[in-house]
Amino acid sequence: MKTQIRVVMTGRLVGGFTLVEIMVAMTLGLGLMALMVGTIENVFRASRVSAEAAEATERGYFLMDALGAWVAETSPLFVELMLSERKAIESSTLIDADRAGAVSPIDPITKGAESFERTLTADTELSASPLSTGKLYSIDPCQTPLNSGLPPVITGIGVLESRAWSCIPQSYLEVSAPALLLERRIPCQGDCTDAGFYAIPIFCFDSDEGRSTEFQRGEVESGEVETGEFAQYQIVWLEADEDRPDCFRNGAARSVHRSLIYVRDYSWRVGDGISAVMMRELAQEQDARWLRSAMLAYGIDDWQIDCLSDCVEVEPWGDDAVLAGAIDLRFAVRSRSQSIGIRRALVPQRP
Amino acid sequence: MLIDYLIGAALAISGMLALLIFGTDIIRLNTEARERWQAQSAMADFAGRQAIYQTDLRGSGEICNGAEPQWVVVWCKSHQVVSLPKVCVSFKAEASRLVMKWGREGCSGDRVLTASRKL
Repeated sequence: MKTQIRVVMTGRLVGGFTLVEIMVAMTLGLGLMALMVGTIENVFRASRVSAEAAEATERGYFLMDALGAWVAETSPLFVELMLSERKAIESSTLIDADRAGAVSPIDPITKGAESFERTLTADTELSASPLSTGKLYSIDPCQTPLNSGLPPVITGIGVLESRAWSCIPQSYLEVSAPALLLERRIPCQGDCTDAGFYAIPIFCFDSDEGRSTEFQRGEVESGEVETGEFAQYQIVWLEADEDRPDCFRNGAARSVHRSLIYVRDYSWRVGDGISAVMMRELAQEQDARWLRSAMLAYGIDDWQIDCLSDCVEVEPWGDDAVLAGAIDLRFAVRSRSQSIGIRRALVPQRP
Repeated sequence: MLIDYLIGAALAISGMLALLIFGTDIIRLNTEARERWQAQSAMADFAGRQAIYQTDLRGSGEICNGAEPQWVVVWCKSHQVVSLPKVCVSFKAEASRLVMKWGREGCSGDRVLTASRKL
């Protein structure tokens, strides 16, 4: 009847849905939509969880890789003990050919695994000496490498109790997590022109006729390591415009950088409950001044450091404080959905 | 009329399936990336321990089957190694390379994932 009316009024046939058809279509459409929205949500949630886990993993491995690279630069500086200074100068010429700069001045015969063993032996011998242990006890990690440096002959890694040191910000500190002191010795390849702390082999000065002895013996006195046959490197402070001996161009001299790595109990806002690994560096200035801390990674839990080799206990640094030849670092990276444990043995680069 | 509904439903279901496939693929890629990070890190850990313990690995082949040296046994049982699905670790003496292979279908076949590191 209705169709007939429409035909009459418009002069052509008008089709359309009945109420039942529309209701069925709407029900089906809504059902499909609900199913689709649910599926989309599930897929997005799963993707987000997976992406967060991947991001957390990446963050954790970035942190571990960065620490690995820094620890690699803490190699002990060691000159072959039996070399006369003449021979040492000759070996420095050999180093000149080593563009990588990763090799410390060691007689070519001893290069390789054997030389690494020697450095470890030197560590052990040093740690066994009562004189040197006393010296180690007096080292203040908050001071400059010149005033209170780690002996260049040992690895520049220290594990400290965070609470004990004023250079580690004490508020919101993750008390249970040990702090890591790194003294990096980076080879100079002609790029060490800035003011800073440098570790310089003694033969470097002796072979450089243009330099006066007061410079080496006078200014560096407080940073010199008096360990008899091990006293092969000296820590010095050099101004930016000061002349550099030749060994600043062949990798024999090292630029010394001191930094502290510690854990605090918040990342973005105080009380957010997300632990963060922080890094603080000592300014390259004559008087000790620590720069602002920078966050290396957030969401880091269960931060643990164990000494793996050549461990020398340093009681004044706090309970379980050690100077370490290598460390075993473990932590967990937390994302919203899961926690990923990462562990690695970090060792200095072979000399 | 029915054909309209069928086309609409087919389109909607195809869209959902496409989403599922993409979503699953994203998750798979993320998981693979994570496993690769983990394997690389485990091998860096191995290299570090080898430097500390001064061990020379002799000969090519599987290294997690033996009982010596002790630190290799401990490393093979560590979480970062065993949590990779069906992992196999071998050493190629000629190239001095540590190779890790893993996958849900075992450590051989087309879908195996591989990472290596020069020691």
